[in-house]
Amino acid sequence: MAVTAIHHLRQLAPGLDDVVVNDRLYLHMDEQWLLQLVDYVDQLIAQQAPAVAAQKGEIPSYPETYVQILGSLAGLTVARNHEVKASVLVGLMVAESRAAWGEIPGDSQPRTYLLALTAEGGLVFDPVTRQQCRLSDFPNKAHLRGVMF
Amino acid sequence: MRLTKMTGWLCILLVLGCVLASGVHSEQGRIMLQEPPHFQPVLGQNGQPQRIQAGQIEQQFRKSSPTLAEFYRNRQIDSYLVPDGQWLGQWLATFLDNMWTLGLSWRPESWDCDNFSILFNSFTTLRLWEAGWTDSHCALGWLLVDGKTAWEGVPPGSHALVFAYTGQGLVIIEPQTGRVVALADYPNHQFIKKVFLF
Repeated sequence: MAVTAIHHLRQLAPGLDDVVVNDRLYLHMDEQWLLQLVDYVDQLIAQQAPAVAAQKGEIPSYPETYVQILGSLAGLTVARNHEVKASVLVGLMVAESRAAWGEIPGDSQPRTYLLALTAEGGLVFDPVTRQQCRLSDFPNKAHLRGVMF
Repeated sequence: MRLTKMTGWLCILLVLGCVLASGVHSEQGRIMLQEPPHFQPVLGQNGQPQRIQAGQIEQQFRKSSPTLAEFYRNRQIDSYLVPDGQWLGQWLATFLDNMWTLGLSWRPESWDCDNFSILFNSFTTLRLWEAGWTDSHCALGWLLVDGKTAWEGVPPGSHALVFAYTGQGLVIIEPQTGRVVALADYPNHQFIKKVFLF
């Protein structure tokens, strides 16, 4: 299980001051597992709150809650199945939409995304549109406002 | 080793299906969990749910904790639903029972204070959504404190906790034990560093 220390985490977003880190050691997630979790959280929300699932772009706390649920489930799974003193790295990332990203317009509005550390590097996922890309390819990577793991 | 194969994945799938869907399952191989209670806000005299502004919550924290560095909130949400105290107590008890059933006690790094706090916070929002409150958020969140005094078995140091604004004011909740105290009675209230209301 790959482990990354805090100073390596900070390299994901160099120059960003507002980084909240809750643990000391983190795990690299398998990308396929992350996508399984995404599918599961989508189903969970659709089952529990169909109206939210149908209008997720209109629900003000949707991305933040989605990321927290997914991160919790990932942590819960690891804690129950692995003896490891490290945390799964799934966090919130807020970025200004200076440039358009697929369906997301370049309107300079701050938006919240999921940021995960996978074996291949940082992965950005938008819970509303379900778009994803590597952090290195994220069009607004120079306009991050904050990251919280 | 990468997390390529999570042997417990199916287990968690079943577990979480139970958490919020149909309450208790008894089929072999599944874990029995309690369904959390439906969200209940405090109702005012006009029968409407009571709400509080984020600024009011922030003001109370800043008054209590002069060293508070950051108050994070969702700028799209102006007012927050005040949770009914009885509902909050029932939800907390259910949460603790389910954590016990899952065998999820404190584990260094992999399942510790921030995990308990964020799980409780996010599933509270899910209960709001389930109850149809999709345009707002509960007056509940989590915080980081640089504790100077041991409390609830936690030694001095950095620690994550849950907070809520109830009809009686701000309370601090230790989601690992279920202890709830008024903010003023929390021995480390002066040393809260970051508050997350989202």
